[in-house]
Amino acid sequence: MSFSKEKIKKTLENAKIKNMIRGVIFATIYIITTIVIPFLTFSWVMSLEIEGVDLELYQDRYNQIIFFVLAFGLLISGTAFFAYSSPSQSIRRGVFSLIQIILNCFYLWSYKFSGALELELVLVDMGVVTIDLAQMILTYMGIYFLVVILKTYDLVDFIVNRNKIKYERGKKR
Amino acid sequence: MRYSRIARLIMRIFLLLLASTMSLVSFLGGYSALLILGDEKNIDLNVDMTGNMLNTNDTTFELKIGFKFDNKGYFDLEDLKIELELSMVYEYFNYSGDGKNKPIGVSLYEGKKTFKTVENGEKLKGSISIERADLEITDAIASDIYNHIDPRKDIIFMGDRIAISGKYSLGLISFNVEIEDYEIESFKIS
Amino acid sequence: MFFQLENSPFWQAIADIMSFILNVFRPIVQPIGTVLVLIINFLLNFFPSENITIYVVIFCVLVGSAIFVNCKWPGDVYLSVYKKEGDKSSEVKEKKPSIVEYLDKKAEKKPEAKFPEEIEATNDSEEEEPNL
Repeated sequence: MSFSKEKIKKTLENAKIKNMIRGVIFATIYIITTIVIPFLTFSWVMSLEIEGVDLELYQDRYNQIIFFVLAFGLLISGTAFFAYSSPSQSIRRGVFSLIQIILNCFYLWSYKFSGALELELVLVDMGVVTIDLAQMILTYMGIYFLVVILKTYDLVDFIVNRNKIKYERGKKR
Repeated sequence: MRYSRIARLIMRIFLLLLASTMSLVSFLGGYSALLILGDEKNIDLNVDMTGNMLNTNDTTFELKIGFKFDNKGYFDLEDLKIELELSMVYEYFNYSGDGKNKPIGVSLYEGKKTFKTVENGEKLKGSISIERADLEITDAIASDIYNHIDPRKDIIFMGDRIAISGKYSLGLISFNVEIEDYEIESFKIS
Repeated sequence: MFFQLENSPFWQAIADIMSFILNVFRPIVQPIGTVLVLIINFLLNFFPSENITIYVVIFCVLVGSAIFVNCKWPGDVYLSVYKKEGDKSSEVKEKKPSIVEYLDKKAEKKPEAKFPEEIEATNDSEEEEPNL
């Protein structure tokens, strides 16, 4: 094995570094999916064209949407970093994963307050198109609630089987 | 693997299936909108008038607003409803006595109609028929307009408000299109 | 345009399957969502909605505490023997040696390297004849 590969392998065997790398990777993924992509999407929606007709999203609605996306995106990314930099199947990972999923529900529903659930697009010189996504979001919320139950189950499992998890972790090494 | 992990894995697969379903439905709903709106042949509106609206003795008068909708998308279009507020704009001949005409708007009709579910791949051909009895203008107003209208100019039928609403993507997405001050058709008075 | 928008039978089949799945589970999932929404609507009133600073501060606190906690307790402590619940007397907790400790131990086993002069000096001192 070459010297650099051996060095990388030894570095990754160090649990602290492995945890931090995993935390950074997942935090980055969450920052991209909860902040960057929605930000770019709403900026793009600001001026759209369908069949030669311009659509406009109101500026104040846009500012509200961006605020909530940024605020909850930061919270979700922070908890994701904590959760994923924790050892696998540890209690603290369970706790922060549960908090993260609950924050995801807030993130999703805060789109309603920013007006993104009821998109109003102005057809210039013609009228208004309103798209109501409330039913879709309610269904998503129901699915999220089931995920919350799943994460709670995980947490209880990590607490109850704590010694068995530590033993299995040792066996893998 | 612990039994608790197996139960968790099953639950996770189920939730992943549900979330993927929702994502795919959202994507296909958006794609369907592009399929329908991308081709102007899929939505068609036309107005046909028989008889003379301003002649109170003419019993053959009928204003027919027909439309065609081709559901080229992947889902059924449910609860389709059209609300219409029609008005008419005509040129009042020599309104202030100085030889100049004045365009006058008169509210004609206000009504709504619901349609059956349009399944994917189906074409809907519907119409709203407006007869003399449905008009908001009285015979007296119609006679007054007939006496003062400039016959050289067209009568313009305006959609003061045309609202089309419905549900798509298994009822998950509701849309409402409101068009205001839309010139539908113009006619010469006979 | 690079592609022609058209209705594909493959995606239609996918849409039909998705429709069936959703129609089965929606009556269960949507009411749950409605209840969750009521709870969240209430709790969202407690989140500040004008100042982004507090959220940035919370993010920094979370990241900082994660770095501290997960470096201090990285989860490399494990059990070498696992007994079922109730029999904890023979639990042995053994920490896996870190790379540094492993290298130190390896170094201890190796004999110290000696320069050639030292070896000669040692040999010379051994051959010195006793003063009679």
